[in-house]
Amino acid sequence: MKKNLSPWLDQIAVTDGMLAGGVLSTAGKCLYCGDKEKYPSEKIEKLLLQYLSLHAPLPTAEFSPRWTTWQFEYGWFRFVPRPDKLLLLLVVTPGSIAARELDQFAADFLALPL
Amino acid sequence: MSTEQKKHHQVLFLDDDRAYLAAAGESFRLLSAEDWQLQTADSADQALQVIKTGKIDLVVLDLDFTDGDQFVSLLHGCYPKLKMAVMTAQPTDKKRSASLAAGAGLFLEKPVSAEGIQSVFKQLCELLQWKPHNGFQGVLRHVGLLELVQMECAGRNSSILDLYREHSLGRIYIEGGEIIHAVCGEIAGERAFQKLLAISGGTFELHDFEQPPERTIYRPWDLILADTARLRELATSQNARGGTGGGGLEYGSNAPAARAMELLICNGTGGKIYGWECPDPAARAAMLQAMAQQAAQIIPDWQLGHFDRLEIALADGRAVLQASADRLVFARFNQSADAA
Repeated sequence: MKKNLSPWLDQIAVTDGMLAGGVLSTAGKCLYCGDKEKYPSEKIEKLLLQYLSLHAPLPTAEFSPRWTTWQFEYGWFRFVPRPDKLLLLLVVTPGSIAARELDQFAADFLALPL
Repeated sequence: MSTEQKKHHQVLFLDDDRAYLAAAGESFRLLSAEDWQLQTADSADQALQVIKTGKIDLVVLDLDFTDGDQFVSLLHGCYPKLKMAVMTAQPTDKKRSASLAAGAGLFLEKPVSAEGIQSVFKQLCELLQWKPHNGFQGVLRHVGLLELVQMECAGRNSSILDLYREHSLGRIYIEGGEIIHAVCGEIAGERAFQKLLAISGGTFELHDFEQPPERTIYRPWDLILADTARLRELATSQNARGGTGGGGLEYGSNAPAARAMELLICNGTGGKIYGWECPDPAARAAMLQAMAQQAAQIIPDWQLGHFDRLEIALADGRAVLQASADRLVFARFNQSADAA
């Protein structure tokens, strides 16, 4: 996993309302952040690996997402796929600072030189 | 034991296929636990004789029957409060538009399986419970008011819709399916209409139509409702980002330059309730149902409450897919360069 990804993830992990997060590489390696007791890495990894099946109903010709947000009552999941196949997942509390900054985090992740 | 008799729903099925009439009639009677009293007719003349008695609550007719649309139109003209559902073995958007415009309250594919019959039965029950005139009251839910206005417009009805929350909030006038006037406090026109449709909570009452003091709305209803959906989405996202003060969304120059491109509203089983500029409603409905199933797989692991929506950021805008037990909504918006 690229070196400067980990500091960036650690930096956004402290944002108020950030519950958990992770990045999946093409090699299947994961980086994690967040409350490891409440949101263990296995949970994050499972969801990251579910990305393709979760998004399978979307016709790719029409919906090639820059990012997607699955919104539940008490938590939002933001998935951001990069062209180099890295995949970011952020889990945030709705209405929090982290939720407000999701677009910025996604744009930063896409622009991150790796 | 009470001596009061339960009121049964009187339902008339009109179809020139007698075998189908017998089979479907029996199925619906059983599904209704004999709450429905079914009558059948295999010709328009026979149906008219039954309808003239004034006891029929709902007519379900086969559109492929000779001059089906004309018959719907005739019935709507003579009996404007009679509820009608049309069924066809070969549904198309053109047939649907023509039937709803003629006065049908529901357009359905003719069921050929037990599951299909159950789904149709559920929708017919909803139509039977719909009380669109004289003192009808309801509580505003997420899409309740929008749906009500759509049904009034699609059915080319004329009515007045009063909205309350402790005190009167405003009034919407619909004449022959067109939204012609709205007033909310001192505001009138489309801005008032959008303010009223942005209200959550409260109650509404639907009354018989009277001429408004003036006409302030002139655009076609489907364009107005597409804007309503767009503004609702914007209000939701603004509230999520810290809010605009919670006083409803202003309709006017402050709204970002996002344009509604497509809108589809379905019932919980994927049946189309309303579509605007939607190229393939069946495919969209299937996508919405699949998305809801995917979301259901996340819920047990994460315990983050019920699923509300999926938002997709696209290269030229965004799409919102929303799923609840009784509603599936798909909306797509384009973001202009200056608003991006």
